[in-house]
Amino acid sequence: MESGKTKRSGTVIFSAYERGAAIKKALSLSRNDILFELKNSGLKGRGGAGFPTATKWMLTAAAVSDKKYLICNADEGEPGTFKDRVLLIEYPELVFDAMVVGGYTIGADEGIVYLRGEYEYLIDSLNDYLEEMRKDNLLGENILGKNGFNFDIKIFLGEGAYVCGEETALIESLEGQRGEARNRPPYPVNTGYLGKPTCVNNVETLATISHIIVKGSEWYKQFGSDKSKGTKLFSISGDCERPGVYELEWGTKISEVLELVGAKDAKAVQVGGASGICLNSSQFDRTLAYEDIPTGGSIIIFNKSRNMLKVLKNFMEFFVEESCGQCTPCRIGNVKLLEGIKMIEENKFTFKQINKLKELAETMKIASKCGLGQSSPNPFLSILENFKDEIFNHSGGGSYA
Amino acid sequence: MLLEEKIRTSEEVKKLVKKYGASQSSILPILKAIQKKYGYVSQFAQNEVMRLLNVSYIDVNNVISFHKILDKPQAKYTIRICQSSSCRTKSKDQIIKTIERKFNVKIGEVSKDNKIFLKSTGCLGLCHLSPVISINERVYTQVTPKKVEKLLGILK
Repeated sequence: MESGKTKRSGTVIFSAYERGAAIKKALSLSRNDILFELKNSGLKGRGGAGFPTATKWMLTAAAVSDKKYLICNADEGEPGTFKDRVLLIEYPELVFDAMVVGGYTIGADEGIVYLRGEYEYLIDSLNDYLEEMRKDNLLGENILGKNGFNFDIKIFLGEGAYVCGEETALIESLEGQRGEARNRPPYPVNTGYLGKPTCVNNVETLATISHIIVKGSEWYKQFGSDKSKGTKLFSISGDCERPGVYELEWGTKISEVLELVGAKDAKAVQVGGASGICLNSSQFDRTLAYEDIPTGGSIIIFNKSRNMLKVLKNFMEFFVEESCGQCTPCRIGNVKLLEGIKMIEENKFTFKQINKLKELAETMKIASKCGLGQSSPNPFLSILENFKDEIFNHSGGGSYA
Repeated sequence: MLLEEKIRTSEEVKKLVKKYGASQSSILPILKAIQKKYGYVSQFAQNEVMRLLNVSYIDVNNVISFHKILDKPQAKYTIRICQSSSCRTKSKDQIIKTIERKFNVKIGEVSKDNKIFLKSTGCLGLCHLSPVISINERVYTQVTPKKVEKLLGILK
């Protein structure tokens, strides 16, 4: 395991926070005030899709039902992402406090943390932490003396399926079905877990909400760029000297990130994990923001010795493995793209075939049912585009082992 | 399966149903708990889950096939090797070769003496400490071929 707890510093998420502060503050406000604060902060979902969090909460709050659920999506399966694990181990108070606030705001009395199967080693410490919260009346009945407000959190352990990070697939898995995406509409905010209104939020989104509630939306808005407010956690790994989790403001340039982590001879940067896009050195002045490169926070750096075709092959093998097989574009498309890569590897291809595969990739983006199939062609398209010379004139050089 | 074993399994499933509640949502946690205890979920245990939760065969089978729950006896040690990009950049292939050579087993296979099951896994979320492997429930970070040799020496 990691040797000792590293001291982290950051402007928003890693700033000082007292356990339970967000709950205390929220219970003194009305539900509308909380929704207004969130709306004013402009917070967007941190899982990658970037849906405005305030809208999601408003829709769930407006739905009429005797029972509502708040789900924390801790199914962090994107290769190269580990920020949620850091938050859950080192800052559980941020995540769980925000869930209680969420329960109060949308009128839910049950919260569920969907923890991915690979993180089974976290579950005992999280359960201990929840038990402590119950002792201090931060969970349970009539929380902090607020009459009639009951909320409790349980942890549900998934079993290593990448597609379950998609919110409707996650709900299916929670219900004891195959983890396959649902047709939308109806959206989970109306018909979610067990058919009840359900709000699904990412771990990092929740952690940010705790700070916004305590310190206010105006404070939060001073960080970030014009269109993307606040900060974002980035999980940085690959060929660099100081890999790890960093909190950076939106609008940070890729080149600044590379400097920060000590990546000297970077050739390529994969932003957004396996389903993200791959940038070459001429694009390092682009910024990380919703208006330029939106991302779930994974950054993988490759140096000059890496063979990009092998990198791409690894990504596509991953998608072939993880596609749930429900819809045709994703099930067959990924296999075909992988076949194309093998053809390039063996030098048995024509550019007509490659162009056909690019068309197929575009089709997958439109026709796939969930985010997996819609984003899995991203590395294929971006690596073929940005590393044309290397891939089509390859001589088998470069290592990826 | 001996009658005694059946009774024990049945008691175990009953306890789990009580713990997780008798609804369809409990299928996955119950199967996982059984798998953790016995290493796999036997046909009899599956039948008990169906009976006690009042769900159909297809409901249980859906979860088993989708989530790759194991329904056959497994090796004593399961070695999982992270297959994602960050780990691959850090000499992961040499580590696989070391293990394969030592136990005469290929990735995705169980060794002949039923001791080692070597498989690849999704990202374990420790990319900054790559490469990462796990042996049963324990996770080992920044492994090197040498370190792996040492770890494998302890496995009995």
